[in-house]
Amino acid sequence: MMINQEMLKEQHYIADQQTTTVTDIATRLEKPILVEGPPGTGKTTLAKAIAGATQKQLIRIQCYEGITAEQVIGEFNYSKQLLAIQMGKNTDINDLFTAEYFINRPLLIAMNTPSVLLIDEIDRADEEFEAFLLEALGEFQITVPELGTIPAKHKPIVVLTSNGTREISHALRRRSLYLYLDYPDTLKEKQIIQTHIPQIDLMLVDKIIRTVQRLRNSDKIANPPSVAETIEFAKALMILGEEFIEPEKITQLTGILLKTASDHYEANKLLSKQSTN
Amino acid sequence: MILQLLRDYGYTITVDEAIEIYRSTAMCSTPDEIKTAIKTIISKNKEEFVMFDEIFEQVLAKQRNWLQELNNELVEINRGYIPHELTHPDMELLQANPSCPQPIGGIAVGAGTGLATITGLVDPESLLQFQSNYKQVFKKLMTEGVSAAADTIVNRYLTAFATNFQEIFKTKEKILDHVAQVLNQINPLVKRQVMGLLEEEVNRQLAEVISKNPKLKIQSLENLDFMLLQDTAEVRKRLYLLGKKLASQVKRKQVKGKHSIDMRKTIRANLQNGGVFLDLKLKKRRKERPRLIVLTDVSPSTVYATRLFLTVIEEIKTLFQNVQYFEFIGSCINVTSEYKDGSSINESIENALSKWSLVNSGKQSSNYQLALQQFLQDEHLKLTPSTIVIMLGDLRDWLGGWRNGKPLSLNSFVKIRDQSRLFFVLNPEFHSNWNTGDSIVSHIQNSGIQVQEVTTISQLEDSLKFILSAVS
Repeated sequence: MMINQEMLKEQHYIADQQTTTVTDIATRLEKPILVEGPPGTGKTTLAKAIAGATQKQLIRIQCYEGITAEQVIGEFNYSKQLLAIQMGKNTDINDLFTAEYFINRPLLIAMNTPSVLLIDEIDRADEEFEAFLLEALGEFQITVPELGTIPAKHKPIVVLTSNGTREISHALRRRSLYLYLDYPDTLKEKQIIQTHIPQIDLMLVDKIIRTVQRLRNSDKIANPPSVAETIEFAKALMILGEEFIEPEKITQLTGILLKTASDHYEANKLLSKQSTN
Repeated sequence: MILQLLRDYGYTITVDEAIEIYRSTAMCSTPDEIKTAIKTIISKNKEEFVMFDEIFEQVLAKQRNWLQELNNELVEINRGYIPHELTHPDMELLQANPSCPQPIGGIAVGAGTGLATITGLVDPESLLQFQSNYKQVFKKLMTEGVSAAADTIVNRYLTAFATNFQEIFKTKEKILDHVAQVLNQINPLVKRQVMGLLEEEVNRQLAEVISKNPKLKIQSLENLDFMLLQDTAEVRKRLYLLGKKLASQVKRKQVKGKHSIDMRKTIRANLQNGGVFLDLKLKKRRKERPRLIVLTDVSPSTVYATRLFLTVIEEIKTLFQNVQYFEFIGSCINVTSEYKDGSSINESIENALSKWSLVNSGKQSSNYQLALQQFLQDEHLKLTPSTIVIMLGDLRDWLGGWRNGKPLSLNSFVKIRDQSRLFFVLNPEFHSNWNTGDSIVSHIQNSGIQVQEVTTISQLEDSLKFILSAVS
């Protein structure tokens, strides 16, 4: 199935030609896409948009430190096994370790249904978990010792996202197509804001983008405002009034754009410098 | 040989990937799509992804029939699936193991690259002459013409100071902008005539430099010395992540440790089971968090390394019971309150440094003897057997006294060593420069104090790991 810009736009996702081409090739080559980029640049939303565009179910695995293979493949239902023993249903112990007593979890579900599998923030997971994914993403099969190797009935479209908390292994990178999503340029960001807030004044959009980009271009801001935060900022200005974007009042709203004390400190310095200049 | 050329630029292209490119080019309808397909398949990280566009524009796009050449190459590789038609050298590998995705050729260091850096072109001499002096370019332009000025921009500025491809092009724009501004003040007409020629010449020379030096080694930020790291948000973010990583590693060790059985609680709890031990109660691990004293040199030669170091300390401070901060040059001041009150690490660093304006002397040159004496006499200092002291300094005792061939500051070093659990010195100076001039490193090492070189982030990580092993 081909994916084009229009299909993604229908899902309220403004994609450039590069993103569309990578998505399309990944779908047709049946390769996972590894999407990296600063937070809030549309990595997760891309997976949602692909799911919408291809009309497939979105299955999400949110990674965190300590996530295990059992939590994403599945595990044996001990209560059910115990119950079976008590009822004298299965006398042979091997009968208890069959698919009947196995609870399928997201990865196995994704391999059995036409779906888009989003493995979100893979960099937060441990290296052991990442190594376990190699088989699933490279061969589209899962090995459970008691059940054997389970090949995928439907190969899912896999989207892996990473924020760079930790370096992803070369083995995983090699199995994926790489896409780096950076902050959008002025024109694209304008389109994104207008898509989300159609009633917004164009002059105000320009001012918002100029302010946000000033913060993004600063070397001192560690976590620059994301696209999502820019939209929140625009919504806040729609409620409070346009005067809050002026240098005298903007510091009251920097909390919407920046979320750490260090960044606030730098942003206030930067914005107050602008006003004195 | 398009793929070989890309390998020369550091891309690891496996046979599998070459075949993927072949398959994807068949699906693409425009050269732009083909370019994106190659880019997404061969890139493994942000640097390679961004670098591809630059290499494409500067080298590949300039080659006539690049598309045709690539196509021929890919057809040849793909033919490898029919063993009797193998002609390509890479095919020997394929023939041995058709599913083998071995990387062939290339000089890339592969995964793990952070902020990529081109070191192949860096001239250490020109680094030492670092000055943002645009006037020199302007002077060359006026006296020796466009070509010489472009040469200066390309060779002296761009290749020497750029930290990656992107940086080269950004720097180029910046320098050209400044030259344009200067020219504009003199005569806008001259500016219009000259700038076009200059930019054209810079681009030509730049393309020449890049195409002649394809073997540009990509080096990760972690291994780049502090001298080349700029105090940018990206560096601070990397250090913040390093701190978080170290802290979580130690915490995890603390949690994973074995717990012994608490017999008293187990017996009590199992009385209801008729004395059968069904419910084991384990002893809770008592976390013994040591105190930490951070003693940092803020003399001009080390202040930058100190800033980077304190960013990491900010994240690992939760592992300690109490952290005290001291800064020294020729005297020593307690800046603990500045670090406790600051709303961010940046603010704390600025506040602590600004405290030096209140100090009457000892702001200029290092004096370890006086500084450590003041440190030991500080009324708030809590130096106990559970204290870890980390000093960051180059151990260059410029003004400290000497007696019997030993620095007088040595006594204070020994006192700190004796009164603390661990005393560790991190030296942000290259090992090769130790024990030259006023350096007292060998004396400190001979007294049993460990001195570790920390000129890169990875060295800082290793040293802190060692120190934190005492905490977990």
